[in-house]
Order: sequence, then C-alpha cells, then structure tokens
Amino acid sequence: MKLEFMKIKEYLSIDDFECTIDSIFFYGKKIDDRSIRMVDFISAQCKYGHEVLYKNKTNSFIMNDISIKFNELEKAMSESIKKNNIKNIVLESTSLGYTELLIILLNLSKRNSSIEITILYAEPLEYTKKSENELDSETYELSEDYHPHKYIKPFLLNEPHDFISSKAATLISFIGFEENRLGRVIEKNNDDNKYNEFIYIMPVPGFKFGWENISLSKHYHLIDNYKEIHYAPADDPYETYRILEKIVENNPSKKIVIMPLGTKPCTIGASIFLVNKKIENKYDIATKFDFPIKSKNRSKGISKIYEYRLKLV
Amino acid sequence: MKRKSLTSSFSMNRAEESTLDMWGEYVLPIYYKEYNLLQNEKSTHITGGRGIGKTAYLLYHCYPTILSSKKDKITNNELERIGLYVKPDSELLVDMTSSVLDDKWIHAFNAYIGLSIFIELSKFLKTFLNAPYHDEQMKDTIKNLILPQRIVKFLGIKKDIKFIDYEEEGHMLRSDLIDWLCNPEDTFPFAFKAKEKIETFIKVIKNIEIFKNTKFHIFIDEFENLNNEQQQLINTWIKHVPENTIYNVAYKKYYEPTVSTIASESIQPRNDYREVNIEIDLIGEENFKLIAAEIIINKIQKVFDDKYSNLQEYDLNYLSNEKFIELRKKDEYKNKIDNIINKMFPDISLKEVSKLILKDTLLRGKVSTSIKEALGKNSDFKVEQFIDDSKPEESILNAILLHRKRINASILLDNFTNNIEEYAKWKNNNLFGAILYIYNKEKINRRCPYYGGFKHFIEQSALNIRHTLELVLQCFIYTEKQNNSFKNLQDIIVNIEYQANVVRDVSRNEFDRKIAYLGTYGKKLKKIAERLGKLFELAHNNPAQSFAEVNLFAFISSAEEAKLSSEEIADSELLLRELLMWSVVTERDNTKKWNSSQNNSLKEYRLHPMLSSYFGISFRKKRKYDFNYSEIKTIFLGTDVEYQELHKKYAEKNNNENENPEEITLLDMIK
Repeated sequence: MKLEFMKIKEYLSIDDFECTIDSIFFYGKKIDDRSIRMVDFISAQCKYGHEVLYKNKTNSFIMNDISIKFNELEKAMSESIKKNNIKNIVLESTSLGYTELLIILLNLSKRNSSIEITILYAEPLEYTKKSENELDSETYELSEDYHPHKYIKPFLLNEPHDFISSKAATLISFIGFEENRLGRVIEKNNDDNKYNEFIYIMPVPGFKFGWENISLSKHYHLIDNYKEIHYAPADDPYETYRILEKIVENNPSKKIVIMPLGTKPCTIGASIFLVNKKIENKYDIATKFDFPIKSKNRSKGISKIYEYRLKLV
Repeated sequence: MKRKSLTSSFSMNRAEESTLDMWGEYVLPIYYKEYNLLQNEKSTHITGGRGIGKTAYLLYHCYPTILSSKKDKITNNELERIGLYVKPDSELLVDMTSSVLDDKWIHAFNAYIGLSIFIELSKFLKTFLNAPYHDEQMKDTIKNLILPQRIVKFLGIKKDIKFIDYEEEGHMLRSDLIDWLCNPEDTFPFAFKAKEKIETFIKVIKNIEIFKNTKFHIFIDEFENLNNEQQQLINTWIKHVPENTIYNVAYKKYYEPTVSTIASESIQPRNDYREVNIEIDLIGEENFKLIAAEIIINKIQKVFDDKYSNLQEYDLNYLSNEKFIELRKKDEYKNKIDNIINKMFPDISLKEVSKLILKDTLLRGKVSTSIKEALGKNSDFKVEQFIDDSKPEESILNAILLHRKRINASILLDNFTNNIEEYAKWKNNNLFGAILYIYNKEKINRRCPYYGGFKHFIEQSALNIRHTLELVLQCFIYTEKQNNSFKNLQDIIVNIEYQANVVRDVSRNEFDRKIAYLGTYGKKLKKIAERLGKLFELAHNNPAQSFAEVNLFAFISSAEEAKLSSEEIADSELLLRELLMWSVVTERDNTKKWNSSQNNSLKEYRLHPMLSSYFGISFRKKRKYDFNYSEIKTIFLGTDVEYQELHKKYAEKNNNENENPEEITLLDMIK
C-alpha cells in the first residue's frame, strides 16, 4: 500500500500533542535536548515503545537492545502491531536516523490493514556552534564523522553502478548546514564518475529566518549549475515529495540516486517518496547515505513541533 | 568555438571522464618498455599517488585501446595479451561481507566479479568486430561464436547463445544479483566460482584461431575499496594462477592491502606478484616535466587539429606508441617540447621579481617600511640608502638582513654601496624568502609571480598531473575572462601575472574545497594541513628570515615519546598514512627516525607544494622543522587550544632565532 499525507500540524509545545495510549511508538537514540524531551514525553503517553537503531557495519538493526537482521525488522514490527491490535503508529523522527525511518515506513507500507502513522519532529532552538576561533572554518559541527557512502537496501539501482553499466546517474541531493557531506560526494565522483547530473534541493525557507543563507553560503562553491537548484521548505515533507515527483517525472528513463543530506522533514518527504516509488516500481531510483556519527548535544533547546499524519491507501 | 573546446578538453582531465580507448590520448611514460603490464606472466601490484594517471595506465592495456579504431591495423601479436578493466561499485561492495551476509558473501562477490567479467569478454568480442583487423571472414566467425548451453546453464540460461549476445543476458543476471542482495535470506540464484567459470568462458574464445594463444589480464582498479575478505579472495586467485587469466590489482600509493589469501598461505612479492610504482618506476621525477608538457601539447594540438611546426614530423598518435619512446628520450626532442611549453607559460627570475617589487609603489613601500622598522631609532642611516633600483635583489635583501641582530647596518651599507658580491650567499639562501615576506604583507592585492612559469607549475604539482592540468585549464579560463582568445597554436601564451593569480586560486581551492572531502578522514586532514601551513607561514613572515623557506617537517625522537600512549601513536600514524595516501603531504628520505624502537621511518615530509601559494610559503624543498612526538600529537590530534599554545611557542622561537642569521641548508653545502 502507498503512503498518503493526511495533514501537517504545528505545536508550540510537545505538551499539546496527544496520542492514543494504544499506539506503538518507534524512536531512536536520545542525543540532544529535543530528542530527550520528545522521546521521554511520548514514552509516557504510549503503551508500546520500541527503540530502533541501525548498525552500519553489519547492516542490521538493534530493536529494544536486541540485535536483529535487516529484513527481520519487518517481522518484529508486524508481530508487535498484530499482538496489540494497533491502529496508530507514532514515529519520533528527531531521534530516528534516515535508515530507520525509511525502513520502518517501507515495512508499514507492506501491511494490508489500515493504520494511521504519525511522524513527529521537533525543531531545535539553535544548533550548537563550534568554538569561534580563527582556525575553524566551519561554523557548525553537527556530525563528528561520516562513513563511506552506501546504498540502503532495498533501494538500490537495478544493476550495479560500475565499469559495466554505461549510463551515468542523476544525483538528487538535499542540502543542509554541513558542506562536507556534499563535498565528499562530489569529490568521490571525480574518481567514480557515477553522476553526470546534480540536482540540489535547498531548504527554503529555513526553519528560521536566515538559516537558508547559511546553507547556501556553505554550498555555493560546490554548485556548478544554479539552474539545477530546487527549493523545498525546511519543515515541509509534502512539498519535498511534490518536488521529487516533478524531477523524476521529467527524467523518467534516468538512473536516479537520492541523498537526503538536509533537514529531517525533507528526509521524511524523501523517505515517503522512495517507499511509494518502490511500490510503483516504474523508475530506477536508489538512495545512498553517509551515515554520519551525530555530535553529542548537536542542538540546543526545542522549538516548534511538527506532526505529519499519513495513512495507507 | 575553439576556445570553448580548449577549456572543455582540459576540464575533462580524468581518464574515466573520457573514452576508454586511450590510443593517442595516453602518453607513454619514458620507462614504459620494462613496465608493459601485458608482458608479465605473473600478477602485478600497481601503485601510484593521487593524480598520477593510474587508471589511464591500466586502460592503455585493455581491449578498447588494443583494438582501437584509431590504429591503422592490429596484428595477431597484439591479440596474444588482452587486458580487461574492472572497477567494482564500492558502494555495493561495502555490504558484500561476512558481517552482513555471513558465509554467503563469497557467493555474492564471486557472482558480482564473474558476471561482470563475462560481460567484458562479450564486449571484447563485439569491439573486435569494429577493430581495424582486416579479415572479414574471421570477424564472421567471431560474430557467430556460440556460448554453448552446457557452459551457461549454471546461470539459468537454457539454450545456446551467441557470445556477443551474452551482454544483454549478463545485465539481467546482474539485476538478479541486486534483487538477491536485498533479500539475502532467499536461496542464492547462482553460486559459482568466478575464477573457474571465467576460464571456461575464455576457453570458448580460444577456440578461435587468432585467440588460441591469448591470455587475459584482469586489472582490478581501486583495490583499496575492497574489504579484507574480498582482497583475500582476489589474492587467492593471484596465488594460484589460472591457465589463461592473470589478476592484477591497482591501488593508491601508501595503501597497504592484505597479503593473506582465504587459505593459510599468503602472497609474496617477487614469488607471486611484482610491484610497479608509477612515479618511481615508470616516470621518474626527472621526466615528469616532459610527460606533463607532452600531455598538454597533445591535448592542445588535438583541439586545434594542428601541430606545432617543430612537431610536424611525428605521427598523430606517437605518444601512445612504444616505437617512439627512444626518440622521446633524446635531448633534441626534449628541447622542442621545452621550447613550446616554456613559451606558453613563461617564467620569471627572482631578479626580475625584485625589479617588479621596486617598480610597484605598494610593494616598494613594504620594503621601505621593513627597513625603517629594522633601523628603528637609529638615525645614522636613511631608508633610501638601502634601496637602489640598479641593485634590486640586494635592496630586497636589505629589508630582511637589517632585522638580523648580528648584522651591522654600517658594514651592510658599505657592502651594498661598494661590494655587492658579499650578497651572493644571501641571494641563494634568502632572496625568495625575502620576496615572499614582502608579498605576504600585501597578500590580498598582490600575487608573487615567481609561483608562475611551467617549471614552477611542475614543482608545485609534485608528480600530480591533475594539478598541472588544473593549473593549465584555469590559466586558459582566466585568459578568456580577460577577453583574450587563442586563435591558433602560436597564440597560446599566458602572461606571468595571470599565472600567479591562477596558482593562488588553484591553491586556495585545493585547501578550501578539496582536502576536507577526501576519504574518511578529510576533515582531520584539512585541520592538520592548516596547522602545518600556519607554522610554516610563521617562519616565512619572520622579518629577519633567519630560517627561510621552511616547508618540510620531520620527527625526532625525544623523551617526549614516553608521554604518548600507544593509541595516540597509532592514531597519528593512521593520519600520517592518510595524509600521504591523499597527497596532502609528500614524503622523502631523511636521516631521522619516527620511532627509534620500531626503527620504522627514515623519512621527512612536505606539505604538498600545491598549497604553498595559499599559505604564502615557498614551494622549493629547503628547510624543515623537527617536531618531537608531543608536537606531532598536538598538530595531528590536539585541541585548538593546545595547538594555539604550540603556535605561540614557535612564534617566540622564531623571534629568538633572529639572533642566528646564518642558517645553511644541506643544499647550500653541496653547492
């Protein structure tokens, strides 16, 4: 079944959010003020909570401290939903990583029963700046390190993308605050030459007035062709989805690789898009990621809360 | 039209971006004859630094080049050794491991390599059909060559197929592999041993008369992207050489692949493989300038579809042809190339630069200011006495020498006026340092032109042809921006001022927009490069220039060693290897040791000279800092606060060294 947007709602405080106690709640690691606050608050509201973490090295998950194989997550989720006769699922996306979010949504889309999915996201009050001294050329350090790029299964191109396959792909990259992430992709492409076209999606308007300028100023030197920039509001997965759909429809026969290196709401939009396109099975679309090791206390405080409600159709 | 293609021709400076057919594109290294990879009966490990042209070297030995339609004809001899190029999808390999797929990883990896090479074999035959091999009957035989069902049934193919048609099937099978990778719990669709099956496919090809003696060399590029297990399997194929296939691997210099196989044995250099280092064995530092110039001239001639008058006599694709190597070694030929390239990118002497400084009001002012500051309250002399337009080099030197406490202003003035021969040693040791010191005071508005000139491009590229090509490309773009166009070959001259501006831009780009993006540790490498650069900058901006042109460093053993944990040593060594692997620093022999107990390094290191212009430091190999372990730890691993302390310490040290004016380099002693 496909995922469909039902509504988008904003809250000034998480205290205003309510969910039925019989919901299942999926969440990730608590690493900063907002993820701690969000996870703790929702944990208290929902009867069933599952922490889900992706392990890059073994391509597996840890669910509630138990290691499970990548494809076993579907079964584990399914059992929990079935056993408790659940109709509502809450995903706390501030703490969930991209892989976790994408695969949880994919697994939910495989269900036949009707369920409602609520994705929550808390904007930070501010991101933690690096110490301001002349040696630091970066303002923000949201990630400590990155891993080598790799695909997230099953979102692979139809064929290995290498010396045999002659067609270069189009890369659709979301832009955030860390130019290193896009820089690594572009520099690697100098060696691999896998992409012959780059399309960027900028978070405009940003969460806060002026934040889009930070994204742009950090990336301008990496962007060759400004005609290939699209804009999606930092907090709007629906608009993100719409833009991705437009891009893909204009390039129906191309290999497309999506890398969500931008805001979490844009990542949510990209995830929903990828899941739906997987079900349609019309295009050759993949996603790759760099699996950043997020810095501790990467953000401070908690600002607006967004609720994105989806249903399966 | 031509101008556009000139820049676009240079912007595609990676082998992968252009055709796989390297005939006429690849400039054979001078020592190529001994390193024709197809001559080997055993495997080769090919290593080379970033940007030295590894991929182009491999592709030169592969079938698109061997069967090039640009050749007049192909002989049967050339068909006895055929190369196949393999560069696996690193982003797919990451998960083809036992930690992800348990023991099925080996099936997946075998299938990936096998299915891909079967396709390459099919493409080889297809390419042959269009090759300049003038025997149509033979081509018909190849066109109709059958892959019998008994050979392909393990792939689920249930009928005989033409070998040249296998490619289409092959793509579908590779898609099946992708499907399985997404669902590894399912039964593996085609478990087979790639090495054996590749041999079987090759034996079918060998049924054709002209291929009966053919051996295939498989070149696996970017071997560093394979994990330990995957490398072990390839090593096993290297150890137990099949009858018709030789496996070769290429990887970045300083990368250390495993030598283990999947059995208990390991592969050994000489016995199982030979090593070829592209920089040392094939090119040699002394020949880099020639080859770089040939690559550039070759590209330009192709864009203009014309030849320089003194190169008219050579065949169109002579640079790819072994027959012409001896000719290219001759001085007469080298001089022709030198003349063309030096005319295109003229250089400037230090004396000329000194004259330019004195003619430039802004820079002359800096010379005066420096002399004035040195004289201080000493009212016996006037600044103007130390500047003389007819003695430009000596005038510039005065701006730094007067800062040295051991130099007596009165004696210096006497020498300046009556005995300028006394300046000879300073010209050798200090003139470039003094010039940089003046230019660094006007870093924003002026660029030191000495960074320009083809021979200096070569020094700053430090064996990275990509840097040289980038400098050339940017020179052309810059010239175009100034509304100058190149209408013919003779027109191509880039003035020294443009060149210097371009060097700064390329240098800044390399620092700001490259290093942080390299490999896994890019951010850390950039930080180290910045810290080293700033320490070298300190010495360059010392008014007395008592320790001029420092851009090297070495490690010295000291009591500090004991303070470092083994983890810190391991981290530093890892980062040093990464710095070398990505050519952020380069290495050469030294007399001092990194760790005397392990006796593992006798090297000294240089911040890559392509970064020199950005930091305003010299690109010549001159002097070095000896860092002890603790300092290295601070530079490599320390916090910003710890580094600032070190920077401060060196700033103070620099000031004290103004007392010691006569620092002599090893180079000076040899001279």
